[in-house]
Amino acid sequence: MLTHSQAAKEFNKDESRVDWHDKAIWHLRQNRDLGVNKIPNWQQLRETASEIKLNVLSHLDTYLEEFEKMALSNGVHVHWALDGDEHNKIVKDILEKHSVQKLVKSKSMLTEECNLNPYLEKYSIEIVDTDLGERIIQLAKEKPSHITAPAIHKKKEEIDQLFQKMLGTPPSNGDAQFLVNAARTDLRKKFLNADAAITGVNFAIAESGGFVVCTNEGNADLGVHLAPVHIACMGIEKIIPKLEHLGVFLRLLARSANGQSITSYSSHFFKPRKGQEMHIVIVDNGRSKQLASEDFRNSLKCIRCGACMNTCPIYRRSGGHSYGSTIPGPIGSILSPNIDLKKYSSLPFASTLCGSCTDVCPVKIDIHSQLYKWRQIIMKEHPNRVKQMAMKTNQKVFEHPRLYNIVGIVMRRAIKLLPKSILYNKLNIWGKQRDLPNAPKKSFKEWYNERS
Amino acid sequence: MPQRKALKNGTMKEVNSRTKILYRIKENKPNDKTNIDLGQFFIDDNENSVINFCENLVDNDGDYLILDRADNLQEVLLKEINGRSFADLTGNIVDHQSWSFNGLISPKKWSDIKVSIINGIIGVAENGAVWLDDDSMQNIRTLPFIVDHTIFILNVKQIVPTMHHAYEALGKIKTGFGAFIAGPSKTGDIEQNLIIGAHGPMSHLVILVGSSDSQ
Repeated sequence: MLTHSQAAKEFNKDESRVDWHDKAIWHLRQNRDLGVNKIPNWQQLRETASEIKLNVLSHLDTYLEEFEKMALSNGVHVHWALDGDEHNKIVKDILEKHSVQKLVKSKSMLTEECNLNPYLEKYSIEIVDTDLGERIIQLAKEKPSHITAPAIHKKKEEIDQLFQKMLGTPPSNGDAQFLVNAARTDLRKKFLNADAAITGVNFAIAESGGFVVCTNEGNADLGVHLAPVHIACMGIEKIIPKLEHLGVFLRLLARSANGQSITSYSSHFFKPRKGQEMHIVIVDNGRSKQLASEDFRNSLKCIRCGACMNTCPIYRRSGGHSYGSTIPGPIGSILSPNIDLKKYSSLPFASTLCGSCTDVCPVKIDIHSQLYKWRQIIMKEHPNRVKQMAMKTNQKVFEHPRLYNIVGIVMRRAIKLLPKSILYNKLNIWGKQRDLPNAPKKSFKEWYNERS
Repeated sequence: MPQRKALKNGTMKEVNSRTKILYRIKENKPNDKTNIDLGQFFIDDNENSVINFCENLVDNDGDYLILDRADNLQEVLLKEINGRSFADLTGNIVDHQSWSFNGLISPKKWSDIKVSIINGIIGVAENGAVWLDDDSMQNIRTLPFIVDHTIFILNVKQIVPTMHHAYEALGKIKTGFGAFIAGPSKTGDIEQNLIIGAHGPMSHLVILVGSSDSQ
């Protein structure tokens, strides 16, 4: 797998595209600020949300048991999956029991994490992503590059081309209204003919056994209310204790994502409709392990709003795909190393540690400090020889004043005299995109001594 | 009862994972005892709720109409429907034939309904959302999501300032399904161009009734 910086280098080859991407994502951040500033007690809301989530983590087992009990009494089937494979098998078994051939799915980062789509396709089940962004990347055979705007890396002209090829639409010069209408017509048929619907879960309420799904498109509802089977997939950390806590989270979620006061649809599912079967799959997949770590457990508070991505100077200029993880950006960079430290070892370094992610996080996750903590673990477990050598050399130089003076004289000359091809060698990572400064004639010490 | 047996077999393995997950959580969870108090969020008063509701609804690409009295509601609704096929769950239209859900028509036909009229139970000033439940939807959960144009009728007295107030008013929710609907179906997934009517309603109207006696 490419490291983040290698993948980002690819993305950075097209400079105008980087600028376009940067601007598109920053637009979300700006809208977030406009939305957030309308709320008088935003900081208290964040604090309270963070406290509720800490309470959740502290009582997660009892809340999950309470949730299960209430859901069962509501006539909902509850399943537990240790990992992605078990989750996929549970979903497949339910679908097979109902002889499901056609399946519609609204956005669920969890099913992305578990690789559900390719798994079900092996069993010849047609699975259609119905969130427009997800549908676009499904047709393009790509992965989402953002958690709330999965196709934000695609230009409208590219979507136009894609729809011409996959849906047989006439060329529209990237007319967004036309393209949405084309997808609407195609997906309406899928909704009406689906044998089952899968949704994610934004919040699951322990005291009622119900759960909430938020969308702007209404795709989750259209799928669920038409299909005879509804399967909702949730990570164990999606629990909140009480209905009243939804007040806090629904105020925070959409405002943090793009400044909207609330999504068009916040649907609360408690019981299946008459004749419908409802299933909930509760998935661990490494989360209980993350819970053990005092340094990193706060990452489980995440409500998947995407604010940290939108504000991140690295994410905006490297694109979501450069992270190579299901969840990109700052939050993905602290969640992914828990799943596979080696594979994702470059992600915690994809940050300037500016702390903007921490500032915008609606549940006050200390994202940038966690990035820093991951770096220390990674350097211990997967040392980078070049960096280690460099630091050791530096240490030697700084420990010996005479050596320091000599190196100073040599380097000032070297920068002036050596040809560029030698100065900007492979070891000079710093000089990859930058020019070294002009070397002064004298050192500070020499200059100071002459002066007095 | 083969079905039940299959379920039992199916759950045998789940019990296993269930136990493992719960055990791991028990072992690993932190021990926080912070008291959560939402009292501080009940500061907004109701004074400007109607105006706020309308402004925030428009921000969400919805529309509103304010009627002082409910007695000309049918006339207003018919004008909105403008000859399209409609389903009225509020009983306000008596002179024209509403779509009837007698159970014989497959939901697959429901795309033919163009307009739905449903009573809102609560309105939220801070975001223009309207709460509906199985009762107000008469268990036809698909309806407000599948039509082209949704109309909600809401008494202004039912508007509360914030989401906190809304959940307080809802109390222990008894419905099987409920939703806050705050605007039409929309998407920004193509280069963030806001397009109304992604899958469902292309327009969303809230008719507020009874403004004169509330002020």
